[in-house]
Amino acid sequence: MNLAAALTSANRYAPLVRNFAGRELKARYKRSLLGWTWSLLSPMSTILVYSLVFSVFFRAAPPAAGNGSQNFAVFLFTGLVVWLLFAGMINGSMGWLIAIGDLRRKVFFPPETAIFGSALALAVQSAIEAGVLVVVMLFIGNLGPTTLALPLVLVLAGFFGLGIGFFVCVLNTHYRDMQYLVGIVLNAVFFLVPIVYPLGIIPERHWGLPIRKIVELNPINQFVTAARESAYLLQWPSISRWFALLGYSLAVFALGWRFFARRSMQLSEDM
Amino acid sequence: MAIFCSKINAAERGHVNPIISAQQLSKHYRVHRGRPDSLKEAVVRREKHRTSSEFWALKDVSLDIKKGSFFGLIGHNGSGKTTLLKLMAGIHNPSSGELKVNGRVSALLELGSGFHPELSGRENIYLNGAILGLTRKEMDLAVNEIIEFSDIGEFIDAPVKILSSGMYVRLGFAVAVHVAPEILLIDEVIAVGDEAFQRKCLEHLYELRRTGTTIVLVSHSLPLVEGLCDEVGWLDHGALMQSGEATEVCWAYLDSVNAQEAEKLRDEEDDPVHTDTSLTEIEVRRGSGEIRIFHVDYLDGQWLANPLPSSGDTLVIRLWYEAETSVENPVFAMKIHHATGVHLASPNSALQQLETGSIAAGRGYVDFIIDKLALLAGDYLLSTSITDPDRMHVHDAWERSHSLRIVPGSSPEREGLADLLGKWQPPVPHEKGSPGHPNR
Repeated sequence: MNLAAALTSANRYAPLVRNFAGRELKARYKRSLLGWTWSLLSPMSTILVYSLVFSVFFRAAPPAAGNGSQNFAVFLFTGLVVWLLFAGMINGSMGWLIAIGDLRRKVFFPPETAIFGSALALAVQSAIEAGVLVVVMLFIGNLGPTTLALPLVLVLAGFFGLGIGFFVCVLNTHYRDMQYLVGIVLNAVFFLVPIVYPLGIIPERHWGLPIRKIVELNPINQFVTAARESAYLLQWPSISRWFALLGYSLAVFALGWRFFARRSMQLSEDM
Repeated sequence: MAIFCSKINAAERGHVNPIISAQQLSKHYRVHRGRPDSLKEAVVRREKHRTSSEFWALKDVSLDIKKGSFFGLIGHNGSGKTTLLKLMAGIHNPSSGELKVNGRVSALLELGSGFHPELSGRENIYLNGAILGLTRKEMDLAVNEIIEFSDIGEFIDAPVKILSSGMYVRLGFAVAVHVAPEILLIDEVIAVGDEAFQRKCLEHLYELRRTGTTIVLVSHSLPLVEGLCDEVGWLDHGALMQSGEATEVCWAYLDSVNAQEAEKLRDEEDDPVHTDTSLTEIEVRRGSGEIRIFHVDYLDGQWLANPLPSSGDTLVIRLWYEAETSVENPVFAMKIHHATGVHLASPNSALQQLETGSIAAGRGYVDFIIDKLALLAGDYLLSTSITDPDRMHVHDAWERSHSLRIVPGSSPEREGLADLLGKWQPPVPHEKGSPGHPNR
């Protein structure tokens, strides 16, 4: 598909993507009393529990924030916003594709519109979380011009996650094992990447391996660290880090999209 | 002369550009037997021979559908009709060949196609509009028409999963026809819904056609297809047997079905199989076959095909016969049963002393004219027979072979089976009358 054709079809299907996004947002907390509050209560409870376990029980001390204070909950929140978006894209993509299966068997539309739509809904949710984070930062007086970089980090993390999502959702239509496998892997990665603890508590060398370096260079950690630097430490992420983020997200998204687009027509027959 | 004719045809064809054009279109599906459903199976069974066979749903189908025409697709179950519609709708891709569809397609492939069960009717209307590429403004204009047409009232804001099946169908049809499609694909859905809605659908299809919409209809109801369509394509096991003028193709299809049935009957005579079917499903054909009824048409007072005759109006039942040899003075007869099995009438030509004379080998028809159809709306079954003048020898007897669906018409009666065509008179005061002795 050349660029002109891609733009035409993007224009043609933009209302559909919006419709899918709106549907996702509207349907999410239907029939619940607290409604949208849940979307904030669940990350808040995570933050509370992990803060208690890691900062009180394990006595993990976070690095000092930009304003000099040490606040484990805020430190955790900053990393969690990135993680929830990234993991949400991967986990969600499988369900999004399956959910439209019935519709897709009866009427033609590009299946990626539903995925982009739901991804957009997830991005909205992430934006709200980020908004809450900024309010909290304002409250504790830890805001700076570098906070402006946070949205960009989130966008890149979103594309990075969506790229992986494109892979797993296609594989999941063939083998439903994928969703369980993804669940396990994401759970493992969540703890292997310094989100709920500072990087410093990992020993530099173990079993003769530079394990702190390995964890540090892990792509997911790049996104988490970039978010922490800009919103918590109030430092600009280094140029090399920006290039890494840009490179990872563009490469993974492009590959995932290619993989998906080649199989999307076959999908309606397989779903 | 022949050259001249072909020139005209070519010129005609040049004028009307096909809106849908298929060239050597084929579609095959892989039928997986023992396809691995999980990674473990895929790994463990890798070295084993995987059994997947190919099933050709369509083979080398080439046809053109003219812009603004009403095109019918007929054929037995599994002949590839729905597959062809799915390819036209873009839901599946052809395996080989070329398919050009030049226009916005709205498809009604299954009941309530394209509905999301959790969303309300109104939200689904917008979702469908967005899928078809309509703007929100265009949908705002259409939405009231859709609600009115589907006649589901306040249920429009309830999740569609709670709608009754009738409402579901009505809403599905209403959405499909109101999104201003250039091409409308309909798969066997008009047969659902009550009579009033069916008529509304048919009227709306005519209306759409007048405004230039191309309609492709898949149906098993031959009278409907013959009555509605300009051109018809007949599919058999994925191959296009014939395509062209509606009546011609329908007849050819019927001939083939009848030939197959006759063959089956001959086979069954040696080894009679008794199948337990309910009364309304019995379809038995017997007789010596010198002359047979091969088709029944319903016409209205203007002698126009009318697949859905209406109560209280003129109905002409036309029995098409085909004689193999000449037959002397045969008696044509019919039986009409209500769908519940009640036997209602048995008109036959001998009772009216009709001399049918000598019928030569070949085709022809006999009309049975009912000036005012006294049967009320409902489903009826028609049996046909042809016997010799003494009614001893049966040429052809086909039990409950044709369905007759009667819709409400000019008859004001609604309940029961028949309009007795009686007339009520004004009351007469008469104190001294003698009940039981009207003439005294």
